[in-house]
Amino acid sequence: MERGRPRPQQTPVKKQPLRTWASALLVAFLWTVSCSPAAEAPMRLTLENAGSFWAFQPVKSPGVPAVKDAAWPRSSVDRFVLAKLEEQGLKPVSVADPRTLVRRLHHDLIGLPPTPEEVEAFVRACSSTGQHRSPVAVLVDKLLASPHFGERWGRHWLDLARYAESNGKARNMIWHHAWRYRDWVIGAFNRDLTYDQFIREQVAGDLLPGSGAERDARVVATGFLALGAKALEETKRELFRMDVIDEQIEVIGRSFLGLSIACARCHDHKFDPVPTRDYYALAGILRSTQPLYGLGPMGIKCVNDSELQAIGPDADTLAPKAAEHLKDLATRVQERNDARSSRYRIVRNVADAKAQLKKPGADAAKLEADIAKMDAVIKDWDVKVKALEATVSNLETNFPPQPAFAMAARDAAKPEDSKIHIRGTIENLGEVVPRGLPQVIQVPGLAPIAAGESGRRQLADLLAHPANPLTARVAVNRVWQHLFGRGLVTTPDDFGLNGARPSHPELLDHLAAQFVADGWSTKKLIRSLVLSRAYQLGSAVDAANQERDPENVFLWRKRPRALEAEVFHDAVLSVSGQLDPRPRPGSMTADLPPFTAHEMFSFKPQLVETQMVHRHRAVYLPVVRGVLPELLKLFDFAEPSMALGARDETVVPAQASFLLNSPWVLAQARHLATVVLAGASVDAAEPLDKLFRRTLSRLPTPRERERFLGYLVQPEAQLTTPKTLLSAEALRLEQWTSLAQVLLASSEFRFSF
Amino acid sequence: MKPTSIPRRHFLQSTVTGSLLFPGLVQQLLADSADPLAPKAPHFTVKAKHVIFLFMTGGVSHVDTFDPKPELGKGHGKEIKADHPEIKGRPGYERIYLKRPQWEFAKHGQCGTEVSGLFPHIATCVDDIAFVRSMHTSHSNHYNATLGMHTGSFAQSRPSIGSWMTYGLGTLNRNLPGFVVIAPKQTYAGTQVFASDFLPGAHQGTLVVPGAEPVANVAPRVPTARQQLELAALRQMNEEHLATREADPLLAARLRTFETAFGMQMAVPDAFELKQESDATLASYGLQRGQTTGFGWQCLAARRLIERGVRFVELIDTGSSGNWDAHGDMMSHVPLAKNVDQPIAALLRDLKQRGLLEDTLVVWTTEFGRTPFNNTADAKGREHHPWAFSSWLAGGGVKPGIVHGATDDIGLRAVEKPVHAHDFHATILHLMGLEHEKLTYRHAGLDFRLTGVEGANVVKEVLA
Repeated sequence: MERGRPRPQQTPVKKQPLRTWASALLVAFLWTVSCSPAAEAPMRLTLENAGSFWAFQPVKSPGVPAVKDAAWPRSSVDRFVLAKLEEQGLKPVSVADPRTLVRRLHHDLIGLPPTPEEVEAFVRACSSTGQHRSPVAVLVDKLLASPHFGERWGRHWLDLARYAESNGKARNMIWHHAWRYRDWVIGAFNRDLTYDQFIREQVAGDLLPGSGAERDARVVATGFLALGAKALEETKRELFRMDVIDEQIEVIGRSFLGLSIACARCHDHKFDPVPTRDYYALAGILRSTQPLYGLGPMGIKCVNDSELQAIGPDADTLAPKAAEHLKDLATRVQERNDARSSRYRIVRNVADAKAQLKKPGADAAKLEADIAKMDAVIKDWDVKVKALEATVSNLETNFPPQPAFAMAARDAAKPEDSKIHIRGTIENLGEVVPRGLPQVIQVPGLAPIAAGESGRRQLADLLAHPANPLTARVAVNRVWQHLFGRGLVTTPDDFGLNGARPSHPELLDHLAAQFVADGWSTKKLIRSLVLSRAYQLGSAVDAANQERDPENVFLWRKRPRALEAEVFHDAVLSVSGQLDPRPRPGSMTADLPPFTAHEMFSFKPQLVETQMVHRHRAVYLPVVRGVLPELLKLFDFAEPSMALGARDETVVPAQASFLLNSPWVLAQARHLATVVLAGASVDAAEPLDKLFRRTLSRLPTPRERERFLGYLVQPEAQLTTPKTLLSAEALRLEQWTSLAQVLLASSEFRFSF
Repeated sequence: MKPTSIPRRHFLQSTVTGSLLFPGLVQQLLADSADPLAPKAPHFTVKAKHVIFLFMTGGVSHVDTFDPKPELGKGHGKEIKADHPEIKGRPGYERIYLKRPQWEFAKHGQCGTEVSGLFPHIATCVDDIAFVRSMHTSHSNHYNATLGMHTGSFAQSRPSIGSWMTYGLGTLNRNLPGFVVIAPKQTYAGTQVFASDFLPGAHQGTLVVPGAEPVANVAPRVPTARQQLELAALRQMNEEHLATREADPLLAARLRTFETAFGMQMAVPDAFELKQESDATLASYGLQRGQTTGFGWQCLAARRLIERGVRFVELIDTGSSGNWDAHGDMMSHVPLAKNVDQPIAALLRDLKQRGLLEDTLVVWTTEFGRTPFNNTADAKGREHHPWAFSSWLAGGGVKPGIVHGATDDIGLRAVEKPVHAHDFHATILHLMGLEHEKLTYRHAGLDFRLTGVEGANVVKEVLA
């Protein structure tokens, strides 16, 4: 919802109960206007005037501001926040209660809800006094050390890496090996790989020093450059190459720099300081880089096939034979298909001739002779087709031992500068631009690009440089957004002229400077943010604040948020007792017969069942472009078409239908009912408490208790189809399944407060 | 509140005012929180209120269907030169030759519009149709051209025309989605053809796959009485929760979705239940009683959705394989035409008989045409052809019985009054009372519109 909103066309109509909201909207509107590009910045940024624009200026280390209420801040972050609140005349609400806080921290840091035991332990710790360390700090450190941390925060990055396990576009090939990149990302967050190194490995991991498993991991990281959707069926190889490069440039720009560079493909960027020359300087680097994503569709002439990178200790010995075998197979499949169609063509000609024969005045003798000749040819083809079919099937079943493969990137044998493509077309070429980096970002100490190298190493160094004004700002803003619900800059992928301006520019710079000073540690950054008072505020609405700042721009409360698709999925499985918390090895796509090229449609039928039986965390569900698992698609999963830093937050009836009627939700409600009834006495109070504790981390209120216990005395006929006669035990399970489903569908379960 | 006592009409009207589940204060909140699908007035008054968008996947050959080219027949086998995107640099396509149309054309109706033998049923409806024979588009790949015909964008994903329509006009029945896509298979651009993209998610098309359960999760799997209980309990819980949160609009909006979902459980099966249709109606669409698939079913379902207030219905005939993409043999057009010809004619007549054609705009199109040439004189198929193709419009506000624009003698280029995909979109929006330059949405600092930045013109000649 933050990404785009209609330009207000008229003053909102005031309705009686809405007075506060209407004026609130107006305030929001005025705030938007005052922050809109036109109000302060030039109409267009160029290399000459870019220095006047905030995002291209060096990160400053602003002094921590003074505040009136000195007792409120716990950290410098709090002082920045409070200074703004005081300036705006807003009063922050009080801190969230421990039950809310423990859920929030679990959801935000590891993406799983706390167990009832964890909740109670935390609540107890909070109420006892005189401890050595704050219970919040203890909990935060525990969560940051959990292997589930990487599964949660790695997924945020996978949105930006447009991670998918298939090619997308018209020929949607399944990628068996994409999951290695996913696992690398999860691992990188778990071991708190420094963010600068995280960038370097993805852009140029193959060029970094290292050997053995360390080198393999870095090669896997470069899968980042190979994971984009590609028009594999494109017959013009050159156009295909430039399209792939364009996609790479866009994803690099948006994810690391918060800058959309790809519009410079056809003309100088209309708003941001990226001339077409700079685009083609970068394009040269990527032209000198081969993305490795595997074969295109088999059985058609695909000019865009690529290799995969073999990894592991036996890669060098096994890879050549494996590659040769695969190539052989592709050739034979093509031959088989050609033979089949040649044969079919003659079959059709025979049919034509036979039809001719029936017509009056046909030259019967000649036609019959033709038919006989053609029949003989068909027999020949039969033999050839059969032989080729046998060859193909033999090749498909008798693969030589395989090394592990990864999607990756590597330098081309010969680096090559790019020509300017006038208006972006491959037909109209202009002058050659030497390989190079965007001029608007100047950092000291970069090595020049030598004749024999692509320049990816230098690109990585530029992106990961502490003096790069964009990288750290963009990174800390993303972390802030995931914790607070919206970024200090609300357009996380666009820090350019068309993007939003930071609501707290000094705080953003403070965080960026601190992030670099702390050695680019994501965990340290998260820790410092969640331990602030600002993060721990309650989500209660205060009428006066709401009127002045309805969008909560100035952080007077915690903004409630719907759980993301994966967090909701995992929460349901977790409370129903069905979650297998172990990582799923590989992926469903990797389980497909490994040596054959698969397209999406051959995979699709298996997917529906998968969702019903998948018990691992949602991050391990297969991400096949065009056929996302239903739950992910319904609850605003990031379409893996382009780097996406902020997901939609939709509230649509299809989500409600899913919660009411999907077999998956019903099955989980039944599991949940089974868990709360296990070992319970006939007294209903005990399972009811258990149900509430598991789902909402609290006990039912007296009113809820009364209502839900009343619910259990409904006549049997209402709970199940009238014809079924249920045992007392089965009826009880139905009743509790029904209750469990209500709680799974409740707003309190669905949202993080 | 007994479910059986709820009058049917409650489900057929917009529920902004008539809530089944939420009384009192929450009801007021729901009504006040901005509903992105609430009906909105068009920019100017027009006849059309609904669109049925018929999309033929793969590229229908214009010279074999709606664009008669006798000169192409005469020139068969003649070598020509063309700087064509599909042949440039393509091995084996250094030389190209004209290829004659494979079906005879004949004049039909009062207006005398010529249609080929591939569409004998649609031919009987020409007096209600405005043909555009001068269509052209910006890309020769399926993916890009399909995306362009649906979103106006030939590269990046953008909101679909149906999403723009509900964004501009809202919908008339909140118990049904405002934008429905009925498709047995996906087109070359997958779900992007009905995605809301940067428009609010409420404008996303709802995919209906012909079959026993056309809309996912609307069939209750427990007795209605139980679901009523669950919803009541859920409502009380959510309402109490909402009360403690001073009516967060997001939470209020969420409450409404349960109401709509519940309404859909009855409205959706009702819309797709063809039992009440007469034998004669079913037969006219070429349907057997009880049949739940086929293009005839899609057409009849479209009429029923329109009747119930759905704003935009798209029907996709086939998916990204086995479609009109006749590289190998033009004869593959025969079964594809047969598949849609009778149902489309039946739909037009049915709408007309019921007085629905007056406020329903019917659009027929494909992503591009097919080349009037090939690389050998006797090649059986045709290649992708973005330079010229045919589309047509009928119903609400359309001038009936006319032909607009023309291609050259051989159907190579749209030469007379060319209509680009963007112009076609501008015209469709205009027929629905929307000015394409005014229907904008602010995203990433720019005002986006369906018709892109290059400019587009409404085709005034097809307006009644």
